Amino acid sequence: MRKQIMQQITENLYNMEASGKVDLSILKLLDELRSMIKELKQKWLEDRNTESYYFYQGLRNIELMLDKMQDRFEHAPEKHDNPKIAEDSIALFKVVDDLLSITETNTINDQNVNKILYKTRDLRNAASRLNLIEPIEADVKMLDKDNIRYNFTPMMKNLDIPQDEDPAVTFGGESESNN
Amino acid sequence: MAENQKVIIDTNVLVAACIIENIKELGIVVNHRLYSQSRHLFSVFIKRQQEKIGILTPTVHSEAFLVLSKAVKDVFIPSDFQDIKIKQIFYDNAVALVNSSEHRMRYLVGFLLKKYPNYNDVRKFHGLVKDMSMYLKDRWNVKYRGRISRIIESERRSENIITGTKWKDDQKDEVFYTHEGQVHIEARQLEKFMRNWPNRNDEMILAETLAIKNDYKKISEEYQFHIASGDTGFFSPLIYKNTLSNIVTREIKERFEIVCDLPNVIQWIVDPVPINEE
Repeated sequence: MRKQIMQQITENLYNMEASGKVDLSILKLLDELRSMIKELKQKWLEDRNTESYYFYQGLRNIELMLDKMQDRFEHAPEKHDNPKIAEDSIALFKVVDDLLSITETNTINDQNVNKILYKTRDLRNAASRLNLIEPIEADVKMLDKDNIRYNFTPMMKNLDIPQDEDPAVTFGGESESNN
Repeated sequence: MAENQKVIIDTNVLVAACIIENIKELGIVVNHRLYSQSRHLFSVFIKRQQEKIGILTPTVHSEAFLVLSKAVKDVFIPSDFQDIKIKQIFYDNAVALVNSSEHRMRYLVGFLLKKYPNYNDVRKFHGLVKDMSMYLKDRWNVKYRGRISRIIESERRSENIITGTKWKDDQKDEVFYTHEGQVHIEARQLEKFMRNWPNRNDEMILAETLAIKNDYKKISEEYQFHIASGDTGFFSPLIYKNTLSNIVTREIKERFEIVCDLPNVIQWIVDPVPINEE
């Protein structure tokens, strides 16, 4: 199913690139892709292993990029973004396809976790380069501030940077709080 | 102002800095010692952009997103969810935190110079770094592993001081306990070092730093290299109750002439002029 949708999307994009005109029928194909991603997300949500989060994270990132892509397609004529948006999307879909193929696995192990994390990173790097990354406001809107505040110290400890255990090293014996 | 200073940023400093920057931006009050440290260090990079002081190695660049994702996931995702809808809220929140922090990271990385050293050089230096790691592992096994070893080591150090016959017992005890405290903190640091054994990524970052340093030394012998890190098990001293252990960083300095320390110490070295902001 993935291969079929991806093939249709890619053909559509190449046609747009060749004709130099936006064809909004691609939005229907993007919706089909979204449905497929939704199913995959559900699969990983139902998995009891907490490492499933990394696969969910990869899929959620594709969704965010599709939102941005859709926005650019819809506003392409007025912003003279054609055929640039088609070219950018072609480049991004190569990474999207790789990432989707990893999330189709049913096996969670270190190798697959690393694969999905590296691919998600590659996707975000590509999206940033191609102006297809979600605006930071979209992320901020989702954040639960109380949860973050509550978990801040454990998060730092996770990075081996404890809040309380080791006072800051400073020259002259002054602690940073005195500065 | 010290010239020819170069600072390699360790992954944990970059990731912690971007999380803290992000959280601060959200209006959440954070009182973390690394916040002003890392911010001041990056302020130096921004203030003196032409000098390209801050450097990003390939390993740090490559693993930063992974470290960020894992740090957030391990804290924000509990192991038992009864309700899938609640689980989805947690997952979405974690993704949003990773992504918004990654936006900040992209901004901070913009002020670092990305250096890709020659792979053969890195491999050559990696061998030297492995030798150092093996030496530290041996020290751990011989002098620090187990309570008896630590007592013997504390006594050995005390003997060097208690040479006269007029020492009273309580004075001897005081000397012993002082050394025991020092041995304890060193053991604790080496324990951290051994917990991640083999420290593949840290070793690789150090090898890359050495290869980059080697390239700079071809231009001028005056370049000085530093690694800013909060990792007390490798690139940063461990301080606990006014006792400091620099058993790993001292070894790095002696073998490779690279100063490794917390961001505020490195900032003080490269730019001792106080930065007034906020």
